[in-house]
Amino acid sequence: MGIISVENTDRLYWLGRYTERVYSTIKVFADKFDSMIDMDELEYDKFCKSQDIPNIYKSKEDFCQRYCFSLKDENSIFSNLMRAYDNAIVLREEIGSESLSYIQLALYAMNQAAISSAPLIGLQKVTDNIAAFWGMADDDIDESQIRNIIRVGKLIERIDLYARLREDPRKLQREARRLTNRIDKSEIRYSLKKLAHVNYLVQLDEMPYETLIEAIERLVGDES
Amino acid sequence: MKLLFSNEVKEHRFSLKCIPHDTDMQKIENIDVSVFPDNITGKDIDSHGNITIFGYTKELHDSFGFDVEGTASTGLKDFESAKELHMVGMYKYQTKITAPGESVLDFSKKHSLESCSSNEEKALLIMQNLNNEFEYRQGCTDMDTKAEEALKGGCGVCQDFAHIMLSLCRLESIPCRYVTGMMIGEGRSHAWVEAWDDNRWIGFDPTNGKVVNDEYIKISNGRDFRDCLVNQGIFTGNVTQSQTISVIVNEEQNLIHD
Amino acid sequence: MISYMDICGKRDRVEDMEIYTGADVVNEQLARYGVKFGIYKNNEFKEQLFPFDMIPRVIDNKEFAYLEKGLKQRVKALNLFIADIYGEKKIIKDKIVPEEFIYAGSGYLPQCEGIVPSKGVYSHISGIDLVQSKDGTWYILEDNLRIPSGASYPMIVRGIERRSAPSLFTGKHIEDNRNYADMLRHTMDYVNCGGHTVILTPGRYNAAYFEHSYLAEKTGAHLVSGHELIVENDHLYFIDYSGRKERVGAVYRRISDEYLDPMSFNEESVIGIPHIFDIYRKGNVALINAPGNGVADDKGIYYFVPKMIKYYLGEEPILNNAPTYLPYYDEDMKYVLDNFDNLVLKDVAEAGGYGVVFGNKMSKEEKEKFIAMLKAEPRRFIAQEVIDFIDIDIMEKGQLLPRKADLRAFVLMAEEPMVWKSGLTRFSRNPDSFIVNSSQGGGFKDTWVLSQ
Repeated sequence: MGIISVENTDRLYWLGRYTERVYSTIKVFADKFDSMIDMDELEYDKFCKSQDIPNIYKSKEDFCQRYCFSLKDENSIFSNLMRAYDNAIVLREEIGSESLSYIQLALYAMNQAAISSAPLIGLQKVTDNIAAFWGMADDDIDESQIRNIIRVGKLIERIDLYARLREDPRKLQREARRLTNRIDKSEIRYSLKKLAHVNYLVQLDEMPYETLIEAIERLVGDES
Repeated sequence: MKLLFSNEVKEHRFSLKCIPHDTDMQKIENIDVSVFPDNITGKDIDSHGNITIFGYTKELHDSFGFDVEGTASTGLKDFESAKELHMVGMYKYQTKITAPGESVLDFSKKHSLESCSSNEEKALLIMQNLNNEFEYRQGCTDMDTKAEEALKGGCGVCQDFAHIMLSLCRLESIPCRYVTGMMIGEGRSHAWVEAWDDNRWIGFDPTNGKVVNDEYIKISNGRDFRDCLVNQGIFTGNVTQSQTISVIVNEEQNLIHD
Repeated sequence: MISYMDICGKRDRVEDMEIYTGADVVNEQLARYGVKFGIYKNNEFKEQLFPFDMIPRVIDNKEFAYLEKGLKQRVKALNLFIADIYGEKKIIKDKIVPEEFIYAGSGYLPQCEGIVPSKGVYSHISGIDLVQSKDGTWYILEDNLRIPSGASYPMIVRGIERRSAPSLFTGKHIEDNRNYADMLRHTMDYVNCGGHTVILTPGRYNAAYFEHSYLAEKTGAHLVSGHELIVENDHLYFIDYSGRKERVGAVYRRISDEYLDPMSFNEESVIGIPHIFDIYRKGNVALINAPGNGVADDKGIYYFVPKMIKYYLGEEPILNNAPTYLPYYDEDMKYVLDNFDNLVLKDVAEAGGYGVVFGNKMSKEEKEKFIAMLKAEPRRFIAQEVIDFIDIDIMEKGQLLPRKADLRAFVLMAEEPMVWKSGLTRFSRNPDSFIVNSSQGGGFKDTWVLSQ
């Protein structure tokens, strides 16, 4: 049985969240990009609103470039990938060099995508590597606690994101169920009361998305 | 000793060198130590032979202190026996605090030691010269003043006298060490010097121009003041601190009964 | 002397060599696994890939057996020296080493006086730098007994090489160097005072962070930062996520002595562990390597290592120092002044390839200035004959180019010294330079030791 510090349980959790954030936002971005190619100039404004990020972009080209690839834009996909990397790089011992290498590869792919004329193809390599990371993490990491913390991070991020995107309540119910089944196995510190609250919220007829976002964000530890 | 913090601190780790140890010159008995907050975690002897107490207070506190009580029989001998010369090499070399500059070098040049044949004679003469020329005055130096700076300024306290004397002795390749201790009749801690001569450590008090005798109780020794810090600590908290040390030495005669 | 050509096959064109085709793949793989070191440029932290060249240094088994014997002898003597200096100091008493080389240097730590570490081992991991001159003679350039780094690079690269160019290794009888983690684990376990073994890192912004995390993964030791460890009641503990305290018995610390414990050393240190030195003194935790080892790997002390071998072991040194002069001695000073242009001068206080100057590369004024400094502070410098050490080819843009290369051998000490059958071969990328340090743009090669 290994020993894990508080700090590293936190990092594992955030590694789960940031990889999920990068993965999902690339997917969402790909949809928006498609509709922006030949129609709605201002589609990105709606996107920013849904993500609760400031619309600082001057045009759709500017949006596509900076939102995806600018490290100066703290909300960009690249910035989130860097956060995933920053957490992963100090977890080599917990997750192993093999799993870690996929985060490293995602980073290289992101750099390549940034200079490519077809960024979506480049970004696909990023999601490929993140998917490979999750697969490898599931397959290769002995310690179930470590796998479960990453999973919990992923699920919380997903619920958060679905709520922001006003997704179908059934999808949210499914993810909340998975989270409830998983969270105790991760031995992560969380509030039982808040978990009950989340489960209550997703069952409501009129889904209170904003309240749900608030509740899920406060379920585990402090935001860092 | 009492330390007052302007605000509360926590995660406080401390090392104390406040207990005198037995030497050939003194015997220490009935030691009673209390530290407040009371969190002593260990005790050891450092590489200079000093008794060190360790501790850790995790909780918030706004003051820290300790009391040490005990009996010392002094004057058991005129010197402390020392190891051979090759074993005391570390005391022969200057430290950052004792490193000589122009003032120390000038002083050393000005006062010839040609008449002296032994380390003991040399140290005695250095002590007398320093006692004559350096003025005792509080407030013109502080805790961090180095030997060179102090001598240049012309005045200082016992710590400065000791550091300058160490610097001068080390220029003569005499192994010598800094001593923190107490003296009868003084309400504060004192500092002096021990010089090595032929497997003996002999104490010299340049502040008073005296060879150390039964009026002195030694607490700790080292290469300079830094090795003899009575209280050393680190803690979390943004505070200013004020330290007060009070020393009471009561004399009891004729402790030796037949 | 054996060359890689004897092993890898000689062809007229580089492109036809087996080793060529694998090179790109290996470098790509190294990037994949994040084999990097960190540097600060204009105060900004950057991670750089450590340039790797596929052409190995090859050492045949007889030659390596000779090196092994010499390295064990040297490390044994160095351990005895450190024990003596912090103990009885016989070597000073017998005037083999002048005491000012001990006490006036920065490597000696008075705090370590009288401490005997767990099992009496001081230098658990020694990195001994060697070069081979063109006539085949090996010379010791430097001993690194504090925190020698670099073993992780050849260790990870070997597996990659074997995957990328398997035919290169077929039937070649090359000693497997991937056992370094086991050797290290054994070395750490041997001195462990009871409890977990951890690797203490200053953090990911340290130049060698890759190595810290990789060695942790491969040895199964926990990688920790100073604030995750705590001293309580004379023992060291790691605090896990649930608040449980786990005792730690050995710390392979990758932070320097100065920052190890703010109570005993630099009080400004925030990466250290308060009071760890005090429980180390009591024998309740092993520190790997022991604090205070700097007293033995100083460039000034280097001169005396052959004398130590004779003094402590009563043996003739098997491996030679590069011919070295100590201006501290009058006759050596005279020699240095008479032969200034043929010598390389090193400032004993500097490391990492800094403070090294070549007599023949100085202008007239520089020379005069330097000689004045030398006369004022003779103890601060050593002078060495410039060894014309062998070149090893590197591949650059499809060409073979000769470059200077040294070898860092790793000697691990448990019951007995063990020499890792490989090493870090570093080369200079600049054709005119003898300086191979990674901090100055050098690259690395694998070192193949033949088993028969």
